[in-house]
Amino acid sequence: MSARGNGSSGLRGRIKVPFDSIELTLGIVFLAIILMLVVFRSQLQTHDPYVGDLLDRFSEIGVNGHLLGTDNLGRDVWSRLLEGIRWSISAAVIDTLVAFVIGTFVGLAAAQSTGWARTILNQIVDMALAFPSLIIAMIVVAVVGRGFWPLTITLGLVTWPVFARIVFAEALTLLERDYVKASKSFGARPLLIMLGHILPGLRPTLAVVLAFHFADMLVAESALSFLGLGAPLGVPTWGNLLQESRDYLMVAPWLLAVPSVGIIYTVVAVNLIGDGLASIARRKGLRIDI
Amino acid sequence: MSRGSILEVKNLSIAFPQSATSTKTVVDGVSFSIERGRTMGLVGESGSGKSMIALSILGLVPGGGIPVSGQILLNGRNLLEQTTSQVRRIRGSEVSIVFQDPLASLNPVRPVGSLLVRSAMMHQGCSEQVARNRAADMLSAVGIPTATQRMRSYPHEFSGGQRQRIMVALAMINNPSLIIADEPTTSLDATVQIQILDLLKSFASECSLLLITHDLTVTAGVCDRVAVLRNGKIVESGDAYGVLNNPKDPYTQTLVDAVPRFEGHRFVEPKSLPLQDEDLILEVHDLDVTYIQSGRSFNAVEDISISLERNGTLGIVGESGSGKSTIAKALMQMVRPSRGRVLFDGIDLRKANQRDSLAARRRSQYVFQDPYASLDPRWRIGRIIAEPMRIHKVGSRKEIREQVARLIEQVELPDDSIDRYPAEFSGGQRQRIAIARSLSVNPDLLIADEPVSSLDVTIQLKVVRLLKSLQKQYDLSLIIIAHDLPLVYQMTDRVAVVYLGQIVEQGPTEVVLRNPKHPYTASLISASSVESFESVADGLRNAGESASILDPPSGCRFHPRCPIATTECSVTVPMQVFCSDGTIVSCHHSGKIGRK
Repeated sequence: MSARGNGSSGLRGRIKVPFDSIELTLGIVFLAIILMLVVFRSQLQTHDPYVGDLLDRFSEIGVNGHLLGTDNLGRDVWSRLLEGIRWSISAAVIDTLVAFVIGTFVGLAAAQSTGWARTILNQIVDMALAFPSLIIAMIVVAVVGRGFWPLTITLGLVTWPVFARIVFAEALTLLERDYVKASKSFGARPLLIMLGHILPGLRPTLAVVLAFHFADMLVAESALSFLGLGAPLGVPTWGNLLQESRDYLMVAPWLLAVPSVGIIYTVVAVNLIGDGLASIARRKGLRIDI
Repeated sequence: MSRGSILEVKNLSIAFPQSATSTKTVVDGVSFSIERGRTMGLVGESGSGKSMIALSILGLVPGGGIPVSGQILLNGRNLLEQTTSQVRRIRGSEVSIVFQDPLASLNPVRPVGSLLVRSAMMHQGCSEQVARNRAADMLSAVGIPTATQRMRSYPHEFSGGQRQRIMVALAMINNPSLIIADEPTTSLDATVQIQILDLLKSFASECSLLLITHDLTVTAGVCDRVAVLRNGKIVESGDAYGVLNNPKDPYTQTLVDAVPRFEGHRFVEPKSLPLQDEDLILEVHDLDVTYIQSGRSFNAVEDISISLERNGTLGIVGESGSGKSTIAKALMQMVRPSRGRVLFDGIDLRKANQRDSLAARRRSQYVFQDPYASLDPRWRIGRIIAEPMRIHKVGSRKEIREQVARLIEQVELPDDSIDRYPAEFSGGQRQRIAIARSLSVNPDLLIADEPVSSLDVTIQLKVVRLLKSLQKQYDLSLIIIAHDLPLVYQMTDRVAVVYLGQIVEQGPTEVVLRNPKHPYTASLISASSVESFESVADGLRNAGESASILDPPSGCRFHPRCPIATTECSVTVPMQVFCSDGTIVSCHHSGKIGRK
């Protein structure tokens, strides 16, 4: 009987996984590959992504030295894909950060305040959550115009309530801990409690939410670009690549497949990281609701 | 062993795999037996393996931990050789368990009646009607009034004591030959504890009882035989009276010595002089604290008047929900009183300006009950201890570092503690860290809210000694909030007894606890002392539990539970009586109580 007990724990014990989680390790490896592609893109690009050879249109995958074929203007899809990663990923990073900063600030402020101030803050968050964020983003971009900054700032500004809601709920439970009460009884000011006790306590939760939000933003950018309301025309972001492929779906299906696979791959990588962080946090006894 | 044995445990060992090659033995060659109709106590501190033994009898040892050797014979059958389904049938019918926390062990989404009915149908194979009748009988047998109606109630609609009664009913419904009670009264108030133990004892003639506890007082009152466990081994066993009164093993001796008693050594010199008005660190006059719950406001505490001499020690005792922590929070400016005055060293805290109130926060410090919750798990010990100093900007960086090192030494923690995290320390050590933190700003007043109730008895004693020696060193005035009367007796020179938000009796500890004038004080004393366990004021035993603070009884708030209440008590609120021996009592019949 004792052999069974040893066996069940033995396998897990022997295989040593870095970061304590298979999901997290895989996700980090996947993401590292993408970042390598971004960093070394000029070395990896086989052709100029913006210049096409009209005699070489719709080459299939692997034909004429084009790793992933060419598009309707004879531009190399592989080179364009690499060019687009940088744009798509930095856009997703920035709108995630904008949402994170605003959302965390509002969430903490709501948790700290009492009475009508808290009610008002929560009502604002509720209202903001009630609007469909993509549609608002579309309207804003339609009015302001396309471009990197209009798109990223808008996406950040319409999605921060997600952070605010989670931070508010988590901070409320942390504020009830004895060590926070102790700190208050010593006479600590609210700001000191927020920075010293609450924010560090939120770290595991925020890491998970950041990862998932980043994936959402990547998809949102693609969706908006696909609809023609995202990245400026001509920049080969993944959304724009998808949009351009639409007219040639029957002749050149790889034009659709390549950026789609890119998006799926990145989203899976980031979601793996999020899952891994969440499962580590759960193992440490923290509660995370997404 | 004798033929009448219900349970025989022979040479039982349980080990947990720690890594691929090594295991950790938590139970090591334990043997004992329980005879029919007898009660056996298994005593040990946390980590001694006592709960593991209980779980192994039920076949419920958590994954990985496996009895590596030995036998568990229940009615002659070795449970370790039964298949899983056989063990499942035995569990609940021949042997059943009462856990510590009745709220966690009763399914919250089912009426209690259905839990009983299902168990009876499953194990006895009877019809639902029969099971229903049996369940109602069982509930009234354990003392649930109007049992048939209450079958439809959910666990949260019962009080803590009633829930534990339901657990007993659930354990008894299939007429088991053995009941295992794992810390059945630890989460309950002293007066309710007695009622539950009495209940368990009343069933002992029908079945045997294995009582697992850390509380020697409980063992003394209930058990015929006792076994003392340490690190998975039985160090001493035998007749309960003999073992507890005349322990042979040194470890049992330390356990018995560590039990706070009304007799013997006190950490304070008896002082029965009335308070000297000129040297009071703290004065509280007519304090009310009002809370609002679901739109209704109610007074959590009412008309509280207490005072504390400089360097004196005041105990505040009462059951859970009596409002004793609320008083402390009001003193610490953690809640705002709705009426009354709190004078801290002459400063009225309700009228104080911001500077005075911050100074008062520095000069009065609070030690929380649960040392696992009161330290931020992400901070190193050095930062935790220095937190109050940083907040009050006391001293330079270097001075803070030196002060932290000095405190770590004074509370007898290892020197390298400063760079470690709370998770690396035991409960007792954590409480030392919390004490060091509160002392870092040289306070004048220390309020300790149940400072040792979450610790093992031997650790309790050490922390109590530390607190008393630090009190001398730092010239502290001390307020101890506790439900443990012997502890209060040992540590304090004045005591205030709180019942449902009001102080019913206060005065010099020696006088109040030796010669209580209020029936509630008397019942608390009888509920918590070893020697008078058999001869308690019997009136309280069946008197039920404390009423709700939301809906306090008319007249004297204690009258529904009081053994000597008259009609006057239910109508008129008793006046405070100032007695010549320095006590203040609120009771219409204060003369009629005498300690037996």
